[in-house]
Amino acid sequence: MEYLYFSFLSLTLGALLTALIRNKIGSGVLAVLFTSISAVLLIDLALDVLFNNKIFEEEVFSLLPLLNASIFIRVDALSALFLLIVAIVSFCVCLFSVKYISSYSQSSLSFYPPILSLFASSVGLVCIKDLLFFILFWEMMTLTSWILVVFEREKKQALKAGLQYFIATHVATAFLILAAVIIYSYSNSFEFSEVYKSLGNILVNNSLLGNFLIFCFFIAFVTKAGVLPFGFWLPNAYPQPPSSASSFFGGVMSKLAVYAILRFFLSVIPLSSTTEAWGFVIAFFGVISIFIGTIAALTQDEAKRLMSFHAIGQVGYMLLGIGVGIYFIHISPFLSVIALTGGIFHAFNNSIYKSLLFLNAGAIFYKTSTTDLNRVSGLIKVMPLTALAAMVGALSIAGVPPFNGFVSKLLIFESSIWSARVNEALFLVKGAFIIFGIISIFISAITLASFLKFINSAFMGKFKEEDIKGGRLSWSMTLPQIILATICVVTGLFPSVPIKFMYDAILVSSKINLPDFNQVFSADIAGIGINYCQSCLSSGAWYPLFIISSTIMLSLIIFSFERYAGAKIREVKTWYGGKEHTPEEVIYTGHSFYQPFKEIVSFKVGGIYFKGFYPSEFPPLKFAFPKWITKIIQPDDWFYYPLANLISKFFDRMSNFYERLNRYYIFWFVLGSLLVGILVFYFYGGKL
Amino acid sequence: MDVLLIQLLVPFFGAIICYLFKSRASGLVASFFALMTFSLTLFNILTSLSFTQKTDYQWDFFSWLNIPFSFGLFTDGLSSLMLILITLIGLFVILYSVGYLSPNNRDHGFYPPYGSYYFLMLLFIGAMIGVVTSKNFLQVFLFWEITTICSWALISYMRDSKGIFSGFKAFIMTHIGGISFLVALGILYVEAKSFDFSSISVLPPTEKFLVFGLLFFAASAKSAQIPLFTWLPNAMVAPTPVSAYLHAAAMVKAGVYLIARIYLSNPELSANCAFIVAVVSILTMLISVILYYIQDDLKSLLAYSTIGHLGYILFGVSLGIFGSITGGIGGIFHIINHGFAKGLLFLCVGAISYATGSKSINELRGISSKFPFLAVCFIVGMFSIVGIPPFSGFWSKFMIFTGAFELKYGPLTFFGILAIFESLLSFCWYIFVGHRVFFGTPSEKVLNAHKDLPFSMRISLVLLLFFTIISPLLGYPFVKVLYGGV
Repeated sequence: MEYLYFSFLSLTLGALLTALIRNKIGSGVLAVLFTSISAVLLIDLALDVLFNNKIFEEEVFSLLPLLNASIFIRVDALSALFLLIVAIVSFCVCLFSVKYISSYSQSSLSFYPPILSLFASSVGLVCIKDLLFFILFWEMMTLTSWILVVFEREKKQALKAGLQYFIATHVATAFLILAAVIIYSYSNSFEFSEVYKSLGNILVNNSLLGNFLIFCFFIAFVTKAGVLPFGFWLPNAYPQPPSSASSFFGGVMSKLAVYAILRFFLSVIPLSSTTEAWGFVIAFFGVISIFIGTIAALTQDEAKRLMSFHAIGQVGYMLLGIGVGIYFIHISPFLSVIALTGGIFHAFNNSIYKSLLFLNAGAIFYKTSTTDLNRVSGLIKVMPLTALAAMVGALSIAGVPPFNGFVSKLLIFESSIWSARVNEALFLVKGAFIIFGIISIFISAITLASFLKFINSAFMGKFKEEDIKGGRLSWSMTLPQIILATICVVTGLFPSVPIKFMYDAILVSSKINLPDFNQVFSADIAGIGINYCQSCLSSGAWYPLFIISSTIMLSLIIFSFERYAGAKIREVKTWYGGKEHTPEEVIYTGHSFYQPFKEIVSFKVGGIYFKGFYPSEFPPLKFAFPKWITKIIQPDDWFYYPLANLISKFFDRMSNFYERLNRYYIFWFVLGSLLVGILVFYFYGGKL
Repeated sequence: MDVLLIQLLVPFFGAIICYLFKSRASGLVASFFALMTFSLTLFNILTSLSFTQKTDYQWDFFSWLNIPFSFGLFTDGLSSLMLILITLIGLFVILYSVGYLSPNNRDHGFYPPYGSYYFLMLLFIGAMIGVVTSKNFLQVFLFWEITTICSWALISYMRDSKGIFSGFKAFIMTHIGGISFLVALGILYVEAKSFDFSSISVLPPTEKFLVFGLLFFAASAKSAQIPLFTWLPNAMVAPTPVSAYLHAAAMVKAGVYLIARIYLSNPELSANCAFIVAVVSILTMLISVILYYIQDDLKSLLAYSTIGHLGYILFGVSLGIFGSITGGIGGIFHIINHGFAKGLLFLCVGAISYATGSKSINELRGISSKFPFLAVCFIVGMFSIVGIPPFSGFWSKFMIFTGAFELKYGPLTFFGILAIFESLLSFCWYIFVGHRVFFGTPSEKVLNAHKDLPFSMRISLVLLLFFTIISPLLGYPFVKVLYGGV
């Protein structure tokens, strides 16, 4: 438990110290030092929680008597899982940044302090068990990430994106604050368990209000997660910061919103037949994001923007899994557990490979000063390890077996299709879930297509030497990519261990009795068998070792044939169609991929141009208050000044009046004295 | 003589001394006296048990009033909170003025003698200390009108036609409020035979409402609420440190202080009273936020934001009168949080206009590339004001929101939603302005700006930045005492 405090402290201390150092490399090394301390502590804590199924709980600080809110720490398996992600990715990101940030002209003061605070607030967010402090960490996350989005303060795009990002997420947070204060008026406490109780009461007594509160939570979280249409800001904002920060955004920050959804729907919102309908809503918006996000990604030529769109699409997959899980949690617990496991597992996998891919893009930027896929090619020559890592990342995100993305996607697909077999569910809902499943399977292919484009245009093709700066990548930039790629491969090959963790996370955080792990999954070192109901044994299964071992055997055989035959290897230059043409003629740049497809999905409605179903250009928004309103609320012009004029005119006239009667001055004097005398006499009745 | 009295007299004494100096030395002398006042306040607060102190002085001057009446000084949680705000920001503003009031100022050159400026500033500090340490309404009123005079004189400090007009307008408008204060005092004298803060409670219901209404009118004129709010934007022609201190941090807080004091001393006020305050403050908030969007001058923007936030404080206090302690204390908490943050914002804009000679949102671009420190100050102040956690404004605003919903009373819930909405709108405009003015490529005005700011301005900005960040911690003990905790 102290480990958590120490890691939080070390991150905060790091943020403070790096704010004092102007030397880029120096503060980078310092940041790596503090992040690695916190990462080691966090990983140790998380593994302790995950393997031994522990729960740490402690109240650190209370705001009583002002508000019944306290920093209430609770680290359970779900928190531990996300702590693990934060620890791994934060370390990789920091290590990558040391060299990477020096390629920017901006000062490191606007990079390390905010990113370390961002790590600290993410750590706080996943451990807190109190609504007010949850909001606090949530907004701190927004604040620090905004500083990173506007890192390049001279760039117009960055400013626009930063503005959009902060306003969108802050509006969403306002919903969260609204929900919090409404709930507080019933519960008199911000603690999650109290909120759970009073939310239950509200849902029974006033289901409209109850559902409104859930709506508030939903809006706040999906906006941050980048679920379309609420996450419209995401593709503009994520590419703007330095790639290492983008990597944390895409890998962890949007996943923390998924964490929030999970945490709230499993442990804060009581699940009953009415609230389970929200599962359908979540799945629905998830599928919209999968569809539009991924198709729009296909039309992008800029690597980081492409990945940002995929961040939207991938969050969609998680939400589909979680949505199915929440919807069926009472109807069919087996199915629900599998779907939820798939959702969380996908969040975990995604955070690893999404960070990896953003780091790849960063490496490309470091070497070529651009991430435009039309302008880079053949980079495998200078960064073979990055290319390999990018390949692993791309195959993982596309869900190609045996990488990790496949396992989680499999669980999500199967569970959404399997809902057809659940008799208790409504026919229409079942139909919708099946369609969702089919869409997401189809879109998975598009993911592969768009990453083929990324790999092909960036790493394959003709190597253009003139654009490259310096020699090989330094180890500090390669190592993080290798670490992440290794995790992708290992979790893909041995899914049974992580799946047990995911299952524990669900079991610990939900308040509903769920079937045992062994009933649902039959896990061993080779893979997992999946049971979708009590009676149907191993209705789904995935044993990567069988497949991978046969593949390896096959390759060995082919290899030995080749050696036996003694075939000669000759090295030639890449053949570009005979003679050397100009690049435009022969080179297949990023832009050339999928032209006909792009034309189909690009169209114009009204003044808005859609590219891959995503509005790429808006007509400028103009807004002005009606003239009469601004006039009325400024009462100077129509009330105070005329009034003051009127009064001063009145007194002018009075003085004129007085001057005209100058001749009768003595008469006035006598008359006035008489009047005063009479009055005095009258009031005092002659007693004076 | 006890420390409370010395604390009250030191600034007045200092004011006279300062007037004797003509050059910049006057500013240093004034800083010294401000520092002394602050030290005395700090001493007072640290030595008193739960911030409560009381002394009475029997003077014969008022024996003709025929009621038991005595002058006296006292402090409690609310007064101490105000005292900290007044003396600390007063110190920083005077220190800042030493650099700001110079012929080098691009916005408006200032030439010696500076004596009258520091005279008025210290006089104001003294008057403000008088307002918050007085123990009855009559005594408050005396100091109250001194602050009005200081405000008038300082707004017209430049003696140009605009300044004279604005000073006059501010004087008339706040004095209209002052007259209603006087009428309220008259009614209290006749009906309650006492000027004590708690004397409103003994009045019959109709008079109670009348007196409260009159006092609230006085407070709303001072704190720039509907209907008499239009003087504040005009008052921005004053030198920026004056705007920062009088028209954001301290003088306008006198009005909300009065209402908060009435709330704390009179537990049984009718819901009607609370309702007036709530409606007026919410309307003011909404009007001010609409007017944000048509301002080009950074200072007017801040002025309207001040109006809106005074509305927040009054809304919180009205919730307290309705019966929600959280809301009431949240309003009081907002006094200190807003005071520091708004003071910082004003001084920051002052520094910008000192260096560039412009306060126009349209003319300024990319300040962060030349003055990163000013950008940090402005952004921290901005986030404190709009209530982005973990900055100060969030805590008090959150308490006010909580109070609004806590009572489960239809209109108040509606007002609470309006308040959240206002908060969002103001956030949008602030962040837009922040982006526009501080980021991007520098504009011509910024490129031609002074290279450096005077040391006194930088040091007071740094200190104020620090106190803006820790202001919730600073206010927490006082608020806790007011809440009844130990």
